[in-house]
Amino acid sequence: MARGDVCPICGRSDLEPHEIAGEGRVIVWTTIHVPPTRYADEAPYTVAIVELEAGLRTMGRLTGNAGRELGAHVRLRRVDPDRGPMFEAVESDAPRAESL
Amino acid sequence: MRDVSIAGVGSTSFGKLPDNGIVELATQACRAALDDSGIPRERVQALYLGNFIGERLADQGALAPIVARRLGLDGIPATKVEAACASGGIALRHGYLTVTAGIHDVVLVAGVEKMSNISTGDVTAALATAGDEWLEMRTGLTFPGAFAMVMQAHMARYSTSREQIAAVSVKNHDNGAVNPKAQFRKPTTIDQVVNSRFVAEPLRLFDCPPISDGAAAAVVCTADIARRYTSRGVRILASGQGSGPVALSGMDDLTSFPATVRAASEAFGQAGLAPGEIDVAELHDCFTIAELVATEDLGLVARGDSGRAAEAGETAVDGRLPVNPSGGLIAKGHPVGASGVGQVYDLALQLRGEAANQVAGARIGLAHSMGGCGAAATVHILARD
Repeated sequence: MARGDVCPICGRSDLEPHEIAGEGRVIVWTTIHVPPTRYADEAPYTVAIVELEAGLRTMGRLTGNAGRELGAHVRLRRVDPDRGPMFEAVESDAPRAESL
Repeated sequence: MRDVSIAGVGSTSFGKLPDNGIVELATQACRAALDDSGIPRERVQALYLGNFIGERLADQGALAPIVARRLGLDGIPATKVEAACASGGIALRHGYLTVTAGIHDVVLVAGVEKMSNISTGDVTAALATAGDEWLEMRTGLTFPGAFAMVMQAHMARYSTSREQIAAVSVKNHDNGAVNPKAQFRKPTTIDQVVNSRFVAEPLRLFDCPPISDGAAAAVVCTADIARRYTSRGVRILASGQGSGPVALSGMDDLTSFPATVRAASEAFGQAGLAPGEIDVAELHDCFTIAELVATEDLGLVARGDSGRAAEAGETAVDGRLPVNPSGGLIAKGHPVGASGVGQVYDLALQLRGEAANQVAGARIGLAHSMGGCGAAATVHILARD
């Protein structure tokens, strides 16, 4: 969703940004071994669909080797200007602390 | 609405065709379809040409007018249709719609792609334009990666096994081995599939189609005109089309594509047929898992049962429901803009009783083409006239 989009549920277009804590669970993941040319030097790397609070789903990179399992607890580390959301596994299932 | 037939079909071989450019490939397929139909080219009133990435991989836009001119059809409306890998299926649908609506009597439908002279990284990047760049593809997701996620979701939800999914590749390679137009003419084994190298985990090389060149074409006209020129016409009983989320993160269920479900519902409704009445199907097996999901979305097997059905041989040429007797995209090849028309080429041969992997007594066939990871889909139901 971006500013100006229409809400798929209520049809309104006066949407506003809303801050959320950047933690969630891995819905599915894949490790890319054959990359597109622009990321040729980065493969293998892992991409995952993460479900954040309130059921919001987003695609992002999963950095490091941990978290490659369904339901893994991950948190947003940063938003890369080219690659978008970069997640990392939360090593211990500590209470949610970090926010966007 | 008028009854519509396919009076003739043509196809190049699919594979690495270094001697042919994109225009030559399309022209060859169109000439072959016209010859097959017996209809003189002067009667062709419009061209619909499916092509996905010709601008990017073959540096050629305005493809439809170029092909029309090469065919000696200067002046006719010539339209390129693009919806990723469903481009060919949607080109056929547009041809069908103009004839059934009475706008044209005879049209040429074709699909073409030229890919094999480009590096795998650049082809991967070009195909990825069928995804949502901002929301997803910029992360480095690829199309094999997208379907790897679908595969993982199907395995988790329905306990579909790695071997069941590999059975699709083995079946389609077996079928391709006897198709003279196919890119892969060699059988494979479950062991080879599950031990081939990873493209995007858990998806492996033998779960994927090759990078291909090729073109296919069909002459679409009123059933009356078809009967005047040929005794081998194939009726188009129904045409359905749907769209769905381009982004995977927007899918409610990663194991089903609403675009296919919608296109199928429309097509079965038009034809007044049920999935159980289909004798043979050419489905969009852009990856092994895609064939399994398609058989479920089309209602040919029950939800979650596709892996078992494939492993049990139900979708083999001699099975309960033969799927992709041509070898499918996996073995026949996947020149992406051509594939939707290529399926119709093979299906027409099946319904005429002329196919290499002939399904005994095939009378009603279904073609399913899909673009993106469920962004667009078409379903056509054909019948022996």
